[in-house]
Amino acid sequence: MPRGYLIPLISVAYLALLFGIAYVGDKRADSQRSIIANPYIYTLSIAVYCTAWTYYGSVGRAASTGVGFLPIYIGPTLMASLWWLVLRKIIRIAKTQRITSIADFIGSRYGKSAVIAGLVTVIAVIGIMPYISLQLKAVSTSYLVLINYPDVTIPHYRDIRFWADNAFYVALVLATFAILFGTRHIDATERHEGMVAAIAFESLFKLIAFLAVGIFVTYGLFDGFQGLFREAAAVPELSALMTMDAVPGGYGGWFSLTFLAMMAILFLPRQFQVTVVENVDEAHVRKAVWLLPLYLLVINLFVLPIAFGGRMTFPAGSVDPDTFMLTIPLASGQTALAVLGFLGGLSAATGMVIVATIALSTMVCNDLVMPALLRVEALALHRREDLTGLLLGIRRGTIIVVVLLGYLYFRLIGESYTLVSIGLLSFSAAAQFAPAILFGIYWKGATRAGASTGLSAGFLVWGYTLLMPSLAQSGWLPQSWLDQGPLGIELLRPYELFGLHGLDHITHSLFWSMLANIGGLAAVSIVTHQSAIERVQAALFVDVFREEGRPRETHLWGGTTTVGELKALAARFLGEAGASRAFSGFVPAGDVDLTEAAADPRLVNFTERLLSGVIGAASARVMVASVVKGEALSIEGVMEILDETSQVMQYSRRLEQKSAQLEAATTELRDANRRLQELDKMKDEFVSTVSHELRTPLTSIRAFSEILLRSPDIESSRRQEFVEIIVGETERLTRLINDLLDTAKIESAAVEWHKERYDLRRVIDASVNSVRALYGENRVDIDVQLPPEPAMVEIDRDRLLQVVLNLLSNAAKFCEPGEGRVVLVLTRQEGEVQVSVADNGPGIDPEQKDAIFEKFHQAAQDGHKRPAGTGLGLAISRQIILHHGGRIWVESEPGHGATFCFVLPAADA
Amino acid sequence: MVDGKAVRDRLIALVGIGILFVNYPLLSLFSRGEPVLGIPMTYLYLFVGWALFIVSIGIVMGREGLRIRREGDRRDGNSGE
Repeated sequence: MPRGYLIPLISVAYLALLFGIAYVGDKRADSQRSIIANPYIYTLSIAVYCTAWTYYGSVGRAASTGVGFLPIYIGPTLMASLWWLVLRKIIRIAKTQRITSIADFIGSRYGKSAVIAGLVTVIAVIGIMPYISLQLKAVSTSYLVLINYPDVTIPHYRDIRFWADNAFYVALVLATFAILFGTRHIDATERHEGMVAAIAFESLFKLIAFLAVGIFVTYGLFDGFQGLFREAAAVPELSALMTMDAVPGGYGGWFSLTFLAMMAILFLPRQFQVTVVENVDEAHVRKAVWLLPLYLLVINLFVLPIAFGGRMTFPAGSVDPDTFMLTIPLASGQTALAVLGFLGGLSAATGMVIVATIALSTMVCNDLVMPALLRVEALALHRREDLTGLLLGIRRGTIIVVVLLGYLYFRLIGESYTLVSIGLLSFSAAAQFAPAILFGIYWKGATRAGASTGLSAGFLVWGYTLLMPSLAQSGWLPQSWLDQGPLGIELLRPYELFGLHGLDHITHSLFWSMLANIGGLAAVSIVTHQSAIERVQAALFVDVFREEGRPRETHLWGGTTTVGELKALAARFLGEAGASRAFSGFVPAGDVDLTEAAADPRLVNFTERLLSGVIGAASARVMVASVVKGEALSIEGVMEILDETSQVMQYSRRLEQKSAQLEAATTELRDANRRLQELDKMKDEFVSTVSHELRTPLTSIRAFSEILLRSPDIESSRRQEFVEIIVGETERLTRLINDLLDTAKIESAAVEWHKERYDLRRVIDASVNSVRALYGENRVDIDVQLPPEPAMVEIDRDRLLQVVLNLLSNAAKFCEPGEGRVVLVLTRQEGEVQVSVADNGPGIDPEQKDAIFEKFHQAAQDGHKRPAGTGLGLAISRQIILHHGGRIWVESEPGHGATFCFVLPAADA
Repeated sequence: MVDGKAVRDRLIALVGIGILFVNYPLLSLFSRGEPVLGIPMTYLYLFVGWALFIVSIGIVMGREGLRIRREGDRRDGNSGE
């Protein structure tokens, strides 16, 4: 049978079919009729997790360890149930930040750091290299098995030159394929719908092929599950595989593999690519959460039967268990089934290599090569017109380099390791990303320094405890290096670091690397500080679900640039047409004027995000910074979004303050208004009172004058009486006008005050002397009680005299003649001098106490007797006392007299 | 009514139970070679437990889907008013 020609032909036909699917997928995507936008295609694309390792390696491992292969699938099952919480958050972050790869994600989280993104890329490339070599080994071995059967001995690779090695050609074909799939054009979203469609098809195909072989072995060769296991139980070596005792590393090893697989399903670069970057709708996660575990369960159902079937079919050691998938059908004469099995393995391997290399090429291009090139001034990339060609070139070159690195590793260690051991190397490398990502999306305090410390420490430990020993075991490093430790230092033996023994290699490495990684991340984060942009990014990542409902646009660009410059920048990476399309698509998003010369900060942000999709966050920032002049990051912009809560709280506090101020102002205004109204009313009353007060004497003056004028023959005694009345009334008028002028002057502060230090006792003596006549006339007693020592005050003597006179004459006025008694007391208190004038008159109503100090207010008197005053005396007194910094008030109980008091500040030296 | 937080709690509880059952010491109780229903007990335990776990997640997520749809309907209904 010419299998030597047929197999390559069928393989190429299969790859052509894949390419056709990818082509249709891309075309449908261009016309907005996506065929991958459903949870089933999404789940199948995540099943790229099942590689040739699953396909061939699981059987091989099951044949020697029983259920030892299972943690690799139980881990993802457990992790999947957390996807709704963790993966959804990562997807949301990736979409808002336009993340293009796992390196981009970690770099963005830690302040768009190019260094961290580059570090992640290096780890990914070195870590994934064994994994790719695993696929090459599987495809090349399965091909050889198929064409050479029944001669199943695999030639030693060291003996053949690479040009005679079919694995080399497998590598080249896979690289070409990945280039055709993943780098046909540069896209701002960095999504590859065609590739996802092809991957989903491959997942379906490998599942069907595996089930076909499994069903054939279980039901064709043996009597179903029960029959097969019954027969196996009779073989002592096989029945020993039926308990956990067969699992290498025991329960500890079992647990660490579970943990590794939990991390790998999310953080292997290719898994990140299909689950996060290629995700169309985060709602698809909801179904994938249980569909993916179901897929894993189904594809593993027949692993044990095939493994046991193979061990029972072939004599011990004659056939590599890793090839049972092909050798059992071949041994049974089922060539077609074997070819189907081979194609299933091919699809598993190609799927992995395509996605992994595309993911790695994006990372290498965006996070390693471009940032480096952009910094090399001599290349002047800032000014190059069109960079799309360069980008594609870098990516294509990367794919070839990555695949060839895998081939190199395969040539170096290919034979000494089983498929699974090689795969676990890569899993352990991918697990190093877990702390930086998980801490990064749940703990704002994780810093750039912490992340780079953790990543590098974990990676170094991984390299020392797993990668280098793998090279040593293949003879590329001296075996003594492993056994006695480097330079004979036993404590540093890579498999028993610091004397830790009793663990299998994977668990041992996992423990030390995670200790270094998590420890480094946490410890350094705690002692270092974040820069402004780190804090911004940390908040955006951790609070991604809280972002909703408020504008995401944060004005991180403080400088200025023009729309034209931004557009030209975008065109260099997206092409002229792509840039125009993107920019015109931006207009409806806001009221940003694209014709305006100076670019709106939102447009700058938009351009940065647009470029992030093509060249990664770190490079995009460098590029945008090259056209934005001025400060790159305004501190106000940073503070604005630093902490939503505190910002809102601050804002509401400011609002509260404002409203309190407004309220206070309103109250003041209202008071002032009321006061104004009162004053207005008082003014009206004042005018009407003054008119009244003026008219009364005027009326009587006029009446008597007219009588005198018209009656010249009036008796002279009557005439005398009338003239006296006229003179009296005129005096009263004069007094009134003087008082009015006084009040007005005091109120308008037009009075000149002649203040000097004075003994108040002398003022009181003077006042009492001048009222003695009045008191004698009214038959009122006066009792003056003065202290022996002087009571010094700073006063205008004449004005104060006026006050005391006013109080004394008021007191006399209200006393009944003959019974009246007025007591004047001068006392000294703390820094004050008090004068009180008490009478035993009728007293004052409580509600009148304040009113009597108003102008023209005169206490109502019993009977018709009108007090002989102007009604201004107390008002003037109050003005004078207030002006001297004192107070004046009245104490009274109706029927028991009234006491008028005033105090003045003492002026003792 | 089940809210988003309850779903989160259920998922976390499920993972906890899952990790507990497929590890030492519970796993060691079932680490026996003798067949149950013709299948070695270890294998049967792991695969049946695995299937039950998938069914449980399916139920929790199915309810979450219903809830999201109901909320969506309510929102649509409100916006139509």
